[in-house]
Amino acid sequence: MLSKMEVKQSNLKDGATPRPTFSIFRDFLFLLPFVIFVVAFLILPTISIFISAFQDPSGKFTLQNIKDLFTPYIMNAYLLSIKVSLFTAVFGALIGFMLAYASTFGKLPSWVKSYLNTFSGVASNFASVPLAFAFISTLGRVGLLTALIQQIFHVSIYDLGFNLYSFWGLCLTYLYFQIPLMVLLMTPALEGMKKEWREGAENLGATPSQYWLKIGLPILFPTIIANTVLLFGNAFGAYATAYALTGGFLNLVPIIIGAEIRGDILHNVGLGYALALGMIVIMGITILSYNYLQSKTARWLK
Amino acid sequence: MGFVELIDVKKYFGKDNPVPAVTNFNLSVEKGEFVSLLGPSGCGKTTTLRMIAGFETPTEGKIIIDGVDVTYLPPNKRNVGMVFQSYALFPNMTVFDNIAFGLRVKKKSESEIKKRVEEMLNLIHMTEFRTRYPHQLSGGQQQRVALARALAIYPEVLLLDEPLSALDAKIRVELRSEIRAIQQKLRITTIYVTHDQEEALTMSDRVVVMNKGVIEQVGTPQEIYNNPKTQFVASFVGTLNFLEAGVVEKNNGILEVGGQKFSIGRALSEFASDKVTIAIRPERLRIVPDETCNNSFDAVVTRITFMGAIVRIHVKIGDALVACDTFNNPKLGLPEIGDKIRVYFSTEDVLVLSV
Amino acid sequence: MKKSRFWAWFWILLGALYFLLPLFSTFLFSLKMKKGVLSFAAYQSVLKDPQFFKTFIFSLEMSVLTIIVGLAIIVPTAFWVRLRLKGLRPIVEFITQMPFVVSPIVLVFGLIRLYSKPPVQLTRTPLLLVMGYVVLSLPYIYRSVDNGLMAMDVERLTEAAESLGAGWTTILFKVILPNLKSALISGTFLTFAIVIGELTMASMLAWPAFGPYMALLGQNRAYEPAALAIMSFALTWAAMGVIQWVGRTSFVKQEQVGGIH
Repeated sequence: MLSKMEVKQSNLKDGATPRPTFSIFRDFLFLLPFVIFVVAFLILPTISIFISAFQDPSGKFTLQNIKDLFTPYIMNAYLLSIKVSLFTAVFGALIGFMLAYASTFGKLPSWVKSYLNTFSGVASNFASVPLAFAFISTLGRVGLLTALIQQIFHVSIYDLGFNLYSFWGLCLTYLYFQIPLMVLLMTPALEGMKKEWREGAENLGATPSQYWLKIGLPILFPTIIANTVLLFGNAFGAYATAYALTGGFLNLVPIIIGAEIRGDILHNVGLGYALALGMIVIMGITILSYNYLQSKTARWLK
Repeated sequence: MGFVELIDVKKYFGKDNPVPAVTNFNLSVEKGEFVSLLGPSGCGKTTTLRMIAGFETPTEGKIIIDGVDVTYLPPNKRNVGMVFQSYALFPNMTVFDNIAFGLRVKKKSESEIKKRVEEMLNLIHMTEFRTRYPHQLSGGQQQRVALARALAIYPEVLLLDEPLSALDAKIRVELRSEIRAIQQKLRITTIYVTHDQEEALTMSDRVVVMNKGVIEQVGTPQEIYNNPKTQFVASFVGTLNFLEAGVVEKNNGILEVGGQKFSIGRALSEFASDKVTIAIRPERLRIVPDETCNNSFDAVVTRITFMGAIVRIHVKIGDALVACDTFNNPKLGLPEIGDKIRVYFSTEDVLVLSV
Repeated sequence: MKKSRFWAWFWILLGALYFLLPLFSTFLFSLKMKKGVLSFAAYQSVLKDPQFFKTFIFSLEMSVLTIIVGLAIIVPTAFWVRLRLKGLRPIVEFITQMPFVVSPIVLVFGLIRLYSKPPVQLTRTPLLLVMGYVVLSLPYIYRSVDNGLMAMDVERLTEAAESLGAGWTTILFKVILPNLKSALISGTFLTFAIVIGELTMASMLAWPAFGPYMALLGQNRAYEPAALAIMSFALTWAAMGVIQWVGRTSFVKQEQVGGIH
């Protein structure tokens, strides 16, 4: 049948062999700028830190830098960073979750949720220097709230042991962007909870708390933990806020790395690289846990 | 030789363990014909359509449109019009601009474009909507615009991929007849993919029933419905009563169901075993005989279902449960549950499905 | 029912207190520069400072460059991954998570290590800072663009345009980019918000950016920093406002993208 027809050949460059519409080569060409950029400015710097952490000043391989991490000074820095990150992650997650929950399920007027989310969008970007300034103006030694409490209660919170430029002050400040971040992360997840689940449970005789205990929270649990982990990483890597608030006074890991870059204090660049490597490892674990936990919830909340 | 020819088309997905999506597909569509590809999800009908459009390339085989081998031609070089299930209207353009898009790509003059777009708007009865945006239109309206957009470029073939699936039942029925009317008016070769047999039967000149990547049967709607060639076609298209029948006499085609013997008027295959599966459509089992009926069963009424225009009477023939459909006629009395009645049929209506 | 509403209001009001109090007291603090009188003297002092405008304009320029480079790299990538290279999607998504793993302080460390000496000495040009900023905003731009592509069902639209005879340039400029407008604007303003006040990289690479300027002011002055904080907050709020407004008026429904800091 085919031979009897006059088949006009369409104009192809290569009519003999079948070819897909776009060659794979051209596809990857489109991706080239991205690949070059990522390699040059993300992957190579990371690798160079990795390698430098194992080099001594002359360039030979050494484990000394890693060993140097295990001095009390450095270990305390890691401990402090972990403490701050853990505290602000857990409390940020808790309060952020309650706020997201209240605005989604609390039967409040709808403007509450939209304002909360808008504000959270702004506040989660409002970190570093201006945030530090805001807290200094509020709870610093001559801050307005400090002065107000002095006036009303005739007592200085600083005398009572509070210090903005300490662990607790830093945590309080960090919460200002941690809580909104949790709100932004949890609100879509809460919205994804199908109301049919709750109605079905009610129909079968469950009380609201039974529903949450047996159905709601178990479903949300991986996401809640995942986001808490994300908050941890967020706080651990923060440099600007801590620096602007304490001027490098508090020994957090990012602060020490910053000091190393500038060449202050220890004059041991190798140690700086090892510190950076340690940070990468911790953050790497963080993001892997986050991905793992999120994958567990994803299928239910789609 | 048809206007659209698919010759030995095969499509495999995946490199390591190739999964055959379409196998041994051969079809010849005449110019101006309306052909439906009908089948369940995953049967390969959409993949076949996309190969004709150019969005997939066949692993083997040829596709020919109007004598031109388009198998490896990119989709924007083929002159086919495609209507998608999700309409795929350009959200940033008005109805007018959407319809005009293909013409503007061909760099037609603005006056020519205006004329053609107005023509299309008239065709779909939406002239007042020309400045509206897609998000301002209902689903049915969007689909009509999608149709107009595809037709505006004077395509050689019109391809539709389940265009009505996303719409309400009532709109679906309206649009169905509109699409068919437009197709017949323009006499455009059309290939229509659907899983809804009612759509396929009411709209098409011919239906291609597909299952698991293979063509089960090609024929007119009547052929497909009345003379299904395979069990799959018989059960997928329309409703069927299935019965296990014992073979009494192979050569004379004498079977028995529920202790009642009857003849199917033709010999069974010599390979037939003791039991065969036969099928008969509900509407071919009558409670009031007509001149075609030359056979009957004794049955007991078990249930009566009122379906609007049709009344379905469920009866038991021996151990077998079958449904008899009869037109709803309030004047004709219906039997009651438990009544013993006679069910009439024609031997020609009995389909022997398995041997 | 009543009980749950009480608790809901409790949490919301508690949150409001925690969030609004610092803003309010900062604002009040910023008005107290002149003894005994509430005035905008602190704001005037800031605006009169030539360094304020100099560093702000510098950071503004940096953010514009970041946006241009970022979009130029990300838009084709997101588009191509979504359309043709679906298998690469997990890899690209992993890469967009990397800036989180390699936080700014570590990244700038690595950049200095690599590019502060010949043969490739980029530390002398602001280019390196821009590249660092592009890395920082990579996740947000990518997510914005990717959401935008998903919302417009880019695969179907591309096929529809192809079936109507359009070539790739037509598809890109007449179909895809117009419907990506609000995603692009979202990405732009998010990047702006990230870059304008950035401190870590700017100070380590020693560029006269707005972040280091604010930090310096914080060390020397008392009231001006508070004024700066309020101005910065208002600016961020305005940027977010634009993003919201654009999202509401777009042809295609967009998803809100939050920022991590």
